[in-house]
Amino acid sequence: MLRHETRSVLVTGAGTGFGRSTALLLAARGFRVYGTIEPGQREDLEKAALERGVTLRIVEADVRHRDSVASAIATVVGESGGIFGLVNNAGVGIRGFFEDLSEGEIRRAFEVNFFGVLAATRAVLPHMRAQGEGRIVMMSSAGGRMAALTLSGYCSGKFAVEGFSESLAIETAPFGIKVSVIEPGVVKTPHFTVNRGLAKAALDPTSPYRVWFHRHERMVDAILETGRITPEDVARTVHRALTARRPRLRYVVGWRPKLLIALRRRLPDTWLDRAYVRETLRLVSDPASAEASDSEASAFAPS
Amino acid sequence: MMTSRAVLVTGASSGLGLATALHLACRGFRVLATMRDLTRRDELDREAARKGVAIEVLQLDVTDRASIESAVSIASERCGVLYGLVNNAGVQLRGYFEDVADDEVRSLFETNVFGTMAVTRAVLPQMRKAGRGRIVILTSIGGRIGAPASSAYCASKFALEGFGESLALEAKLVGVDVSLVTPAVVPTDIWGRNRGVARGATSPASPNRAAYLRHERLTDRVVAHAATTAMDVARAVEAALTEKKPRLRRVVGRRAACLLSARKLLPGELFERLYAGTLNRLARRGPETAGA
Repeated sequence: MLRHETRSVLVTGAGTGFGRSTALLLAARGFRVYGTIEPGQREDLEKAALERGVTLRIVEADVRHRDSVASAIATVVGESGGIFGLVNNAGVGIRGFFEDLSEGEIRRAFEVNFFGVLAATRAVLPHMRAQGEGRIVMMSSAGGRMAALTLSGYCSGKFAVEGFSESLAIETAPFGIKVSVIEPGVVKTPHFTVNRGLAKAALDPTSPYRVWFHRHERMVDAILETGRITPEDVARTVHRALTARRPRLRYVVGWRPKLLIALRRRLPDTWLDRAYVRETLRLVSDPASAEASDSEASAFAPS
Repeated sequence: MMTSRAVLVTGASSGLGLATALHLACRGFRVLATMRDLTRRDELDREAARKGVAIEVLQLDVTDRASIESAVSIASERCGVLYGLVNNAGVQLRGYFEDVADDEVRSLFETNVFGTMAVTRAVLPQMRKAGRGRIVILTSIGGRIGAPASSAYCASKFALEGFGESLALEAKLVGVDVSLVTPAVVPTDIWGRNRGVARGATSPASPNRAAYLRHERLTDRVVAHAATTAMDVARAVEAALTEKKPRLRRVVGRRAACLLSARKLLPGELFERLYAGTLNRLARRGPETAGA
């Protein structure tokens, strides 16, 4: 077994959002943390690490390229003598009604959100198997359990990660490798601001879904503003998944998704599905929200 | 007489697609049965003749955009706006994740996920303009519960569950109903000719080989004793196409329904622990001779 002080963890997408908070928190709690970033994010992350008084090992890598991830993982293993944890955090958004999503936009999201997860996981498994221990943590989303309006391209990728993780957890358990999935609700991070991932055609005034789309975006903005979960909460949950003696397969973060997912998990499908569809359509067809939003795009839509 | 409602079925050369196409034709739908390879149409033609129903067969490869467009435009020319789309075409891939190659996973996703999305994208605009239509997506119990030796397949079917749920919410706004039909294990070609065993799954170098082979033996037993038939699935698709208010999800097969209910009823993650524990215990026992 690896000694605790040498336990190294690789966090993908550590430049912003959940990945950044997770990398900083894990480093503060004694892990040897490697974080992959995109070009141009290094200075900012180094500054954050310095302010927090922790050491982060920053690697530029792109989960969309197998060789890039594999070489980042080889670096971790080479320098640390093994890899205890992998946090598959890197992810991108894609928002728009399905008809407004181009095939390319969906594929680009899948490259990061799904195929990127597979590539990193594939690269760590042989090392973890050889060690006889390891933890793989997937940053999924409440959207990996309940799919929502405008998120067909995103939720399908997150659902895929959920199915992959359930299967993988069974396959790797005999080798001492534990798999956990983190499912945060809507949290105000760059994922919802600068990286919101609005589909091009969704912003087209001629889209047949335009009115609903903008209304729904405003609803999401309202949830973002009132939400109490922070990236720090998500980071603490990742820490729990990495340190618990018997980690859970799933951790939902936030009371709203906890409630919704518990209902989905416990109630008969038909009840929940009907109520969910009805409520979603009621909200998006509500004339009160229509007045506020029909003329205005979401605060984050480019003008 | 009302002109019969036109339904396009993908992957209709065998298995669930074939049974669905035949059943819908018997129930009075105008069926456009599509398949990747027209040389595999014999069984469908023979069965249709035997039952005395007419089925139109079109070439459609869900991974080929041009073939989708051509099939959908032929269908529209002949029948006007399609009433229904049954996204059935799908493939399997078996092997422990470490033994499954990246290109094998991608090729699975091309058919099961991106293929389904592409056909849906081609058909949805005409349904929206008509203000009505039904889209049925065939998933699998593997789209609700993960299983060893099929991580990529389960991922693809989970993806369809997420896609279908999102699409159902969106499409409802324009008058189109989306249903997910989730069959249990049904003995069809997908467990034989189309099993899709990964190249590395049985490699002597694989650390998972023994567990994989035992798991496959176990799976073969489940397939051999499967109580659900392709006809049960075809009837569920018919229900999704004809019900006044179609359910979003429909599980076909009592054992699959029991498994899902057990997960709903057991507290915490007890179900997951029991399920994983049982499968792994079984994969450690017994001889390693593989079936199929």
